[in-house]
Amino acid sequence: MKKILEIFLGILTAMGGFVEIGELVFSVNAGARFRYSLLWVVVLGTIGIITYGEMAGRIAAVTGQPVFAVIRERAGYAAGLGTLMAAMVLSVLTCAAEVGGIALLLKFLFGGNYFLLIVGTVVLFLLVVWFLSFQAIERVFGLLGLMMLVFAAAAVYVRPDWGEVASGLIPNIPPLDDSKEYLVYAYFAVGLMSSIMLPYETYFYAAGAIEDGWNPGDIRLNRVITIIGFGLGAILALSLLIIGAAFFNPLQIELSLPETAALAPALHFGKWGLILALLGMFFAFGGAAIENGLTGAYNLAHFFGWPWGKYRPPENASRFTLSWMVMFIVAAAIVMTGVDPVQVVEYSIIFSVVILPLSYFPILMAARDNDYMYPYANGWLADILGWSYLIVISVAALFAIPLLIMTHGGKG
Amino acid sequence: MEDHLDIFRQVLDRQVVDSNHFACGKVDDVEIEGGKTHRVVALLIGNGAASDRLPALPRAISRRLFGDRVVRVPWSDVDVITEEIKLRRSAIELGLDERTGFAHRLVSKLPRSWKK
Repeated sequence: MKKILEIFLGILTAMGGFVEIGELVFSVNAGARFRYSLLWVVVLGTIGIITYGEMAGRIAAVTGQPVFAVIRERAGYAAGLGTLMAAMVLSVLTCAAEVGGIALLLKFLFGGNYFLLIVGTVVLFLLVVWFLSFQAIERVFGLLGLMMLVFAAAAVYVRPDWGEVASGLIPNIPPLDDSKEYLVYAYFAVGLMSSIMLPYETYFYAAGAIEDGWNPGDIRLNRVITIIGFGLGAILALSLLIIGAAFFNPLQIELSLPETAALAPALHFGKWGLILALLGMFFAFGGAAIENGLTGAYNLAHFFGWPWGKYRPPENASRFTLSWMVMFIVAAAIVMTGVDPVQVVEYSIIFSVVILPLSYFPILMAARDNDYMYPYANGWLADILGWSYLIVISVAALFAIPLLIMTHGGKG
Repeated sequence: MEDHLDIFRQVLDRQVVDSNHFACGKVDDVEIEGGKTHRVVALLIGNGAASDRLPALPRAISRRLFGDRVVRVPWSDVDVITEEIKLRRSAIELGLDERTGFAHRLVSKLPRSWKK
């Protein structure tokens, strides 16, 4: 019974924690710009995160080693350090964007000074991470993030063309006006896939598996959580894209503020739709901010071999504790310069594509290594998917930055 | 312990834990001696050893920022090698305990609030 409850909670928290500000913006805007034609990218990205999340969780359960320990062992110190530095920058930028996004939501709800709201948000998160256990943080933000399901209900109420939805799920390139639009389409495809496969998700997931004390007996739990939890989480991303296509596209609106996305549930379900959407976003962004803050500290500790973990008293993991505190403070400082959080997250998502192969190649090498993982090394399916996605993300990594420059950040 | 060891796969960059299973860094480099057959003499832990594995400019920056300390752990202090390398002595004895550093002093001053 306890195991079933654990699986159930694991699935729900994986689902509730699936969406963050970058995914929200990319999904809605992909729909607003190209209607349903990019839905297949959500499916592609979701299978990718399931593949690599499952491998990272399995390695953690079998060997007790988190992702950056594996990266260092497999890629060596110099290449590993380069990947670590890039991952740190991206985690702090993503954390900054989530904090900024929350401050915008709070300003929209209650008014007040944006900069004070940033400070208040970061102080709240520092207290939450200091006072709550890992499991409590994971469950509070994951479960309350499920209020985002109001977007799934709204996606049905906006009356999408289900035929178009179905054909959008199959890889396609729609007829577009000019060649520049094709580049923007490619930019959105790369960005949308990256927003679903953000590298911090695997780092955090594997660290969480060790925090939760997983062992080889939890491999089935790992598989169920990644396949069903991430799979159901994708429903949220699909719903946001459908809302973009059926609601924002006819109005010719593209999101530049996250709270605009709440218009669709607000119009269809009234006051409660709006409240659920905003609260859902608060917990989804909050969960992602905390995950990114902690991920920065996990990565440093795993790379340099420091004592780490929320399960330890802070004074027994002091560099780890100080690191996540500094992550939040730097993130707050970034958004307090007045940069637009939505812009910040768009850049961090596009640059994330570049480090995806550097993170995922060592994971694949470790997961398929029979000496290291015996008898839990990759089967044929994980191997085929792993290699296929490595090719896909490597191609995406080559084109991500040129596309960002050529399309002026997707503006065409 | 095995007679033959793949230093690159089983030793270098592996997590090091002390006799109480307290994490105390990674194997940043190894000291090797011998002519025809090589033998590991010591593990080297610390930024001095790690930064030597970087190209010139990053090495200089890394040393400037994080120093060039190296702790030499004689091979005779290695107890067991699994996914981690367990030592026979404690981190404090070896000078590898983070509870003597700045971060520990700072974090220890904060109100104790941790709950399992």
